[in-house]
Amino acid sequence: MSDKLIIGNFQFDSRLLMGTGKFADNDIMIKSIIASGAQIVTVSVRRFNPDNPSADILSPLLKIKNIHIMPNTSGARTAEEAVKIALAAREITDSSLLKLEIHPNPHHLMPDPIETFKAAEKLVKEGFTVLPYMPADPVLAKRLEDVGCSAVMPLGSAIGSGQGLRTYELLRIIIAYATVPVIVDAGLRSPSDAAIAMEMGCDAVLVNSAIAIAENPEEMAKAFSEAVIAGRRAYKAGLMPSTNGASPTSPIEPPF
Amino acid sequence: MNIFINGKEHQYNDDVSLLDIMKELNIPHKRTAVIINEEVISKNSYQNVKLKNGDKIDFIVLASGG
Repeated sequence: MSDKLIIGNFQFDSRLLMGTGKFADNDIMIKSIIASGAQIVTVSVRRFNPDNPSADILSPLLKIKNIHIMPNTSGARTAEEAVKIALAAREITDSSLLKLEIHPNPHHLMPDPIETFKAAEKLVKEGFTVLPYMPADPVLAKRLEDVGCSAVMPLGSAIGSGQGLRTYELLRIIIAYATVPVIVDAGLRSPSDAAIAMEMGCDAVLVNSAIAIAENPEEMAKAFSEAVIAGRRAYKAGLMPSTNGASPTSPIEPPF
Repeated sequence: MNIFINGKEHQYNDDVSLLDIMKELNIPHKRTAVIINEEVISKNSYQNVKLKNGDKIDFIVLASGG
């Protein structure tokens, strides 16, 4: 049975998106992406460094089959900066896929909801397929959806924190009302975090640090891939209701 | 004339072109975006760009990030 992740005009088989930061080197990053089965990989946008012309990561990434590069606007502190970064990135990728992220405070990296909303409005009009990284706020999720974002990406917890799904109850509300894919982005630590997100009805998860700084990133990428598949399968299968009391699975009368 | 490239000031002859600068710095065309004075320049208009004293050029590439 087909179970594609549909984001704007794009379709994907994998529901695990990956970031490319913090890997020890490009070789480990590429092996981990392949092991993850991810089809959307996010990258940042930086000034070219003439002293280190090989720092560019596009060439190694493009050797991976069936992959879509999704630039992100990290480093932007305002909507205006994010739009400029997005337009520059599109000149390179020639694709509309964009992870919109605006987090002005380098200490907590929490997304700025107001600037994110303003940028989303503009970028949708510019023809981008916008996936905004956002606080886990159901009202903001709806507003971003209303201005034409193709998905919403609420945070599980702070970027790189490994604190897991601290926003669980808010994610539940976002999922209940969203009509675009909900992708949990940031904070996941373990494959079980990813499985829980998928079981509760998230459409996908985006993982970076949990894989990149694991002791064995390639193995961890595989583990996340399996967890996302298991979580999605469980969601589709329909979890049993939970109750406050016990409900016996065997007869409770003495057998004889 | 003075041109600021990625935030640093450089001296060039008055007739220097954007393509000359890209060649000199070994800028990989396919993997790079060009921003001049905050304006993103479309790839097919590089040869039409006229540089002037004080212009700020940023050469942008993709890098790792989550």
